[in-house]
Formats: sequence, C-alpha cells, structure tokens
Amino acid sequence: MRLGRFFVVGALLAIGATAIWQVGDETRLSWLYLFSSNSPQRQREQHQQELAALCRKYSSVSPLTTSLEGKVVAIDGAQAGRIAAYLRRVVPSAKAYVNGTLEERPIYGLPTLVRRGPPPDALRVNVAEQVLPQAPAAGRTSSPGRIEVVNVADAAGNPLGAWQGFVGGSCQSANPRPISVQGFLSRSNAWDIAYRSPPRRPELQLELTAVGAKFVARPGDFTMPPSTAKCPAALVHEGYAKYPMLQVTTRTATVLLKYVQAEQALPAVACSDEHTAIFVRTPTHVGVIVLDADGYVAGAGRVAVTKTSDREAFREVTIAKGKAFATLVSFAVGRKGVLASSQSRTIAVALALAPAGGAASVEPEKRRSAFSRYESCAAPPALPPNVEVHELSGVGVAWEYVYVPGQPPVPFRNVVIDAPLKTVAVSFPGTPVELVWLIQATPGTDLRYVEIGARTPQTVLFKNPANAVVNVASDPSCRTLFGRNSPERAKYEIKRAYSVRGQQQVIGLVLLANGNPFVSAAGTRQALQEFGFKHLSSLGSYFLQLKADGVLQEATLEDVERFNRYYYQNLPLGRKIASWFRQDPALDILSARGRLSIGYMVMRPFALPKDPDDIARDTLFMVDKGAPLPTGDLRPFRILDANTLSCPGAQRKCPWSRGIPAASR
Amino acid sequence: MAAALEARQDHVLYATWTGLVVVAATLGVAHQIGASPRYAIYLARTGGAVGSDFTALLVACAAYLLFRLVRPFPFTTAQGQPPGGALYALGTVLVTVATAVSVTFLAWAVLLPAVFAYYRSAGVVLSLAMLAGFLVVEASLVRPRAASEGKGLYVDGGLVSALLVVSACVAWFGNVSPRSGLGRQIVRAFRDPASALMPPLVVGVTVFVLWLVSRPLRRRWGENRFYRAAIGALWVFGIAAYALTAVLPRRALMSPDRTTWLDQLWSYSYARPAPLLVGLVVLWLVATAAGYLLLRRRRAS
Repeated sequence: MRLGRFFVVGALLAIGATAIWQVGDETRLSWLYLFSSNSPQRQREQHQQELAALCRKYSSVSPLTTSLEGKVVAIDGAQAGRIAAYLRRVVPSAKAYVNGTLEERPIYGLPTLVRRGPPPDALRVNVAEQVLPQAPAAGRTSSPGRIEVVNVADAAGNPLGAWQGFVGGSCQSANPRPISVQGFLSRSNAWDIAYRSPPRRPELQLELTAVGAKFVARPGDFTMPPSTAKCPAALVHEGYAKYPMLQVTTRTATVLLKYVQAEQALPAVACSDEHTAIFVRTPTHVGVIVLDADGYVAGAGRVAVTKTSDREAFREVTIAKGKAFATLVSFAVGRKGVLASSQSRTIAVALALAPAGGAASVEPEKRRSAFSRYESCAAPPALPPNVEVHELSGVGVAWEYVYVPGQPPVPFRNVVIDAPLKTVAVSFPGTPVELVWLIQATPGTDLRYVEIGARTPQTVLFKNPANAVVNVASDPSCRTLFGRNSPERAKYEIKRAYSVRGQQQVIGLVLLANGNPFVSAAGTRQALQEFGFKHLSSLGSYFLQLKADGVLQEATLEDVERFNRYYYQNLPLGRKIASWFRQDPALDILSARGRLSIGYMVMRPFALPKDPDDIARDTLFMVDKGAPLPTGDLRPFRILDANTLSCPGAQRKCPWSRGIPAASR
Repeated sequence: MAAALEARQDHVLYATWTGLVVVAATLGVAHQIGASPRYAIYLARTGGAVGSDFTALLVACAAYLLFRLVRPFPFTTAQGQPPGGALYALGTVLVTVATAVSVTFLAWAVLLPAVFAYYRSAGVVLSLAMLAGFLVVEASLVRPRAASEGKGLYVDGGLVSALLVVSACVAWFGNVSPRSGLGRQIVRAFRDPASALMPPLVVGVTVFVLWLVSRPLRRRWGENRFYRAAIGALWVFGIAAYALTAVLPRRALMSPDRTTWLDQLWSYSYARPAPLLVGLVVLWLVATAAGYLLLRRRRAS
C-alpha cells in the first residue's frame, strides 16, 4: 500500500482514540455544554421564558380600595412574614402583625418589643399558597412551584382587594410585567416601587445626674422588675427561651420585652395616662422606650452609663411633670456586710414627644436648632495646650451619599466623637474629595474644635451641645491650627490615626462611624432632612430612585441589540464584511450578556455624582437617539451615546471609539 | 493496464482495513458512552439520543471484514478485474458513503462534543448501511458480470484530509470568533438540538460530493508532481488543524499552572487567529515544496 493509505488508517485510529479519550474522562464532558442546547445561557433564557409565561397566566390583581397608610394590619398565612416585610418597606407607617405578633425594635441596642393579638379593628390580610397546577419540570428547582394569593379585608370581613402571583422578582422578565405585591400594597401600578424610610421617631434625650442618697438592697431588687401601680410588670418565661421576657400591662395593651438579660439590672416601668416609659439596662447604656396610649412605640433613646458594679437595680421609678425618672443604683458590699449603694445615678427623660404628624409638623426653625451647618472657614479658638487633638488625614469617598434633588450626590461621612469627660479637638486634613459631613459628639464629650482641611468644598452638619468651633478650611486663606504650615501646630500633642501601624487607640476615641452601631440612624436622617438632603446607602440606590422616578429605565437585551444595529448601519462595507469573519470590538456591547443588570437607558437628564464609587463607575448608561445626556462630569462613567456614536466618558474599551468615519457621526 | 489493476486490488485491501478501523473506533466510542454515567445523565437531560445497542451489527461488520482479509475476494486472488454491474457499484457506494459519513461524524463529535448526543442513533443507521453494502457486494459476486474497468469508489487520504480540514476549520472558527457574524451562525446551529446534526452532515456531504465530482480532474492533476506534493502536505495541514481544534484546548486547560507550551500554543491560536492561519498556510507551502523536491529526486533516481 502507498503512504496515503497508511495515512487514512492512521488518521482514523487517531480520531477514534481521541473520541474515546474525550468521552472517557468525565471532566472533559463539560465541553458538551459549550455548544449544546443545554448551555447555561440557553437554560437561563428558557427559564425566563417559562417564568414569564407562568407570570402572565397566574398573575391577577383587584386593586385595594383603601390605603394602608398608618393602618394596623394583621397578616396571616404561610408567607405572612414575607408580605409583612414588603409592607414595611413600601408602607412604613402601617403596623403589621405577622400571624398575630407585632415585633418592633425601637433603636439599635435595645430589646425588641412584642405585642400579641391585633386589635379587633385591624385590617385582615390573608396569604394563601397554592400549588401550581403545572408543576415545573424536574431539575429546574429555581422555578416557583407555588403562587401566593393575598386577600385584604376590613375588620368586618368585607373584601378590600386581592392579589395573586409570585412574590419576589420572578416576573421581572414577563412582558407586560404584572403588578407586583409591593405595588398592590402601596396602590401603585409601577413594577419597581421605591422603598420608603420608616416613620421618624423622635430620639429621646436622656439626662444623667448623680444622686447622693443611700440605698440598701432588697431581695426584690433582683427578682421583681420595679413598676408603678398603673402598669404592673412581671418576668415571664416562654417556651424554652433562655432569657425571660418582661411583660408590661398598659391601659390598652399588654406588651412583651424580649431578651431581658439575667446579668443586667431588671427593667423598670412607669406610666401615666398617655405614656409608658420602660427603662432598660444594657451592658454599656441605659435606654428608655416610651410607648403611646395605644401601646405602640412612640420614641426611644439611650445614654452611655458605665457599669461600676455587678449588682445594679432600678429604684424610684416615677412619671411627673412630663418626665419619667428612674434611679440606677449600683450595689456593693459595705463594711458591715450589707449590700448598699456605692453609686446612684438618676436618668430623666422628657416625654414631650413630637405630635403624631412627626417632626415635619414641628417648626423648622425649632428643629434646626439642634444642628448647624458650616461651609466656610471660621477663626480657630484659643485652645488650651492640654487639649487632646486627634487627627485623621485623607478621609475619602465613603459608600454612603447624600443629595439634594436635582443636584449630584455627594459622598457622606458620619463622624461621632466619643470621648466622655475629656476635652478634645479633631482635625481632618487633606480631604481629597467633596464631602458632606455629619459630626456629632456623644454626651459628656467636651469637643472644642473641628478643623477640616480640603481643596474642594465641604459641608458640615454639626451637632454639639458645647457649640464647638467648626473650621472648614477649603480655601488657602483660611487660618488653621493643625495645618502643616500652621505655627500653632507644634504646640499641641497631636494623635494621628494610623500613623503607627496597628495603632487603634485614636480610632477608639474618634469614631468614623458609617455603619457603626453607635451612630443612630434616626439621628442621621433627622440631621440630613433638616437641611434638605436625601440619604443614599449607595449610588445603586440613587439609580434605583431615578428609575422609580422614570429618569432611568432598565436596559434590556433588545436595547443592546438596537445599539449594535446603530453601529452596524454606519459601518463601512469593508468592515461590515470583515465582521462576519472576525469579532468586531465595536459590536461588543453584548459583553453585557450574562450580567444580572446590563445598565440603564437614560430617559431624562439627571445629575451624575462627582466622586462615584466603583459600582457607579461600572454601571453602563445608554443614551438612545434623541435622548439627552446626563449632566455633570461624565468622564468617570460608562456612557454609550447613540446620538454621536461615541462614549462621552473616558472609559476603557469604548466599543464606539474606533473606526467610525467622521461623515457618519 | 497492469498498474491500474494493481491499484484497484490495493484499493480493495485498503478499503477492508479502513472499514475495520472505522468499526473498531465506533465500537470503542459507543462502549465509552455506555460506560459513562455522567454522559447518561447528559443524554437524559438533552433527550437527543436513542439508547440503541448496535454492537451486534458492528461485530457482524467486523467479522465480515476479517473474513475478507483472511479469504480475499475471488477476483483478487485470481488477479482479475472486480465484477462490473450495478450490484457491485451499489455495494461499493453504500460501503464508501457509510464509511465517509462515519468518519465525518466521528471527526465532528471529537471537535464539538454536543454531536456525541446523537452518536448512537447515527451508529445504528451507519452500521446497517455498511452491512447492507457488504451483502450487496457479496450478491454481485454470486453471478459476476463480464469484467470491466469500472471505477470503484473508496475513501482515500484526500477525502479524509478534506473532511478533517474543513470540519476543524469550521469548528475552530466558531470557537475563536463566536461573536462574529459567521461565528454566531455556527454556534446557533449547534445550540439548536433539532439541527445539531445538520452542520456536520452538510459539510461532510458537500466535501464528499466535491471529492466525487472532482475525481476526473484530480486524476488528471494527479500526474502533476506538484499537485501530489500539495495533497500530501494537506494531510499534514489537516492533522495540525485537527489537533489544534480538538486536542490542544483540552490538553492545555488540563495543565494546572497554564504555562505549558500547549497552553501557550492554544492561547496564541485563539488570540491571534490571522497570524496562525498565515503560519499554517506557510507550513503547508513549505511541506509542499519539500514533498515536490522529494518526488523529483525519487523520479530522477
């Protein structure tokens, strides 16, 4: 035989051996999925289509005839907790009982309040789960197998509205999208409902004074929670719970306080006809929860109280002249072997709470008095040389933002100076970006001076009982105490954060407190709202807000295809032919395929943030033909402008930056 | 005349060996598919394959081919011409087409494993066709017509090379540039479960028909040394293209540190397709020139 025939036999042997090797190793079988109908992408598309069909088939709604704003709602059923969570987000003023229980946590660090049994006039929401008649295919576990049916009725049982469908985001790809359960609860037809902040409760200010009177311990101090006659309190055990609960009976309701710690002083309760005040000891603070006449939380607050003894108890719990009082007594064994008070402090809290309309109904001037705003430099005060000076340089972009509607969001910094019984000053030199600061000093901290050095404008919202000077030195002409060129700098002993590797002491005193548990979210919101700022937990929430306002729209694969066609239409013939044989980078907008979110279509102009975080830098904005560009500095962003077939931002790998003839632009 | 006769008898022997190899490879792959639980799960999910057992058919084919190796055809032992007539022609066409389609199918399945989903279904049809071809050939030997100089069909190196090269190029292009206009069409064709078989069959049949109709031309050109050298070099090119597409990516991906020369070659072939193609063409030209010189020297000696 000639060589050619050996070749054929050899080639066939090679192919056969390769095929056997290919199938023999199971790891290589993953290649099956690359080109197969079972590829992940095809699976996802198929799954979305199935879901959309299910959504269209099983979604229905009869809108609510009454608003749930401020109503007491009793939610029962299998998915009651989930529906209640949605209700709290879209109608935060509604009080939702989940299967007969209402739980509220007044502020961070205080125990949770529990109410059992909704009032008889509460609206009834029944959540029923139904198994889908068309069970999803085996193996597709992510397909919902059940639908939820939500029926709303008044106390008499008259129907007020009904919703049926899939909770969660299953129906996002359906066209048209059915009304979501959030939309149903908030009486809106929009798919994306902007989550609202819960109603603002006034943060109670607690006063702490030392008491000279002596107390001798009684057995009941450590076994019976002290309370006034109108609202008896007792410890109760539920089930197998480790800790007992405090049960308080007010004029209209019985409430429970969860997680009463055995090693802490027992809570104390005092009440009048209008209010019930519950004093709670935590490891670091004393907190007060004030309930209104109906037994719902009207306000809460806390004050740092150092624990000086293992045995503490509340005494002399009273309400008088619009204030609630309790004395926290620390016991120690005396010389005669008697357990007597070693230190006593009285905690007083004013019950003059904001009216039901919330803080908005209070005179703006009165509200604003708690905070002050600084944007320009101020003359530094004469500080004593023994003042503690803390310095943290280069405070940059945070993951929180604030904005005034219509203006670009600005990064937000929340700072708490917590140095009780000390005289301190703080300095933030070299701030590289424009920031909005909220600076607060904890009670007992003698804060004298705040100095912020920057080249860009800074806004400081300041809360300080001692009225310290705030110097925003954003102009070179501003006089500073702690600046590098200041002659006064040498006079002070400046503790610089992070100046020594591993140094933590300074940070322990000057808390940069975004997300720190010592920062009160309610206080932050109050400060920002007083000056017209809106708070954003991230720029992602800014874009969601704009989406809810109709300024942005979620981009779909059809939008991406359309943008590809815009480019393709303007492609020279040579490159058009070449695109059949080679992946054209200009057509590579589809690299977004596979992401959870492709980007946003810009419908109306909006302000882009000056100092975006990474998420915002990575977000794609698509400006369709005839649509306007966003305003502000476009450079850091990924923007595709179909009007000019260009990328206005300085992004890498702009698909349209190359090869477009000038005439076609 | 004597040389032509010798060549034809060579073809018969060669076709027998080729058939045996095809049968053995098909048996091996079918056995591996049956022994792989993960593959069974994949088949169950895609629902593309028939769980047919065609082992008996293949064993029968193998037995017949072995028999004809031990006991050659009467016209071979008698140093005569193969029988003329329609039956013999039909039998050889059936066997040749079944062999060619088997090769095509095997080559495509190695390049794009999604085709494996239909391997067993196709195996039944092809082994039946091959067996039928053998029967028809045997029937033609019972009553042989007058010997003629009929031009029988057989799977030669040129056909196998063309099948390999074209299959490898199409699959390689789909892998290299899945987002180009052509690449999208290729990927789409293989993602559709109903038509996953069509691209290999269309490519295979097209190559086969071109090979068939160009036979007179190739015969005439076959007297040209340069052409023979080019075809010989094409085999090298075919094996290289095939290895690049079918073997290299998998071998390269298996290296844990991704630093082997295989990995680098694979990365290069996928990152810079145009220089790679030019390089392969240059390699082909060099091999052609070398082959041409070799043939000239042999003729001179």
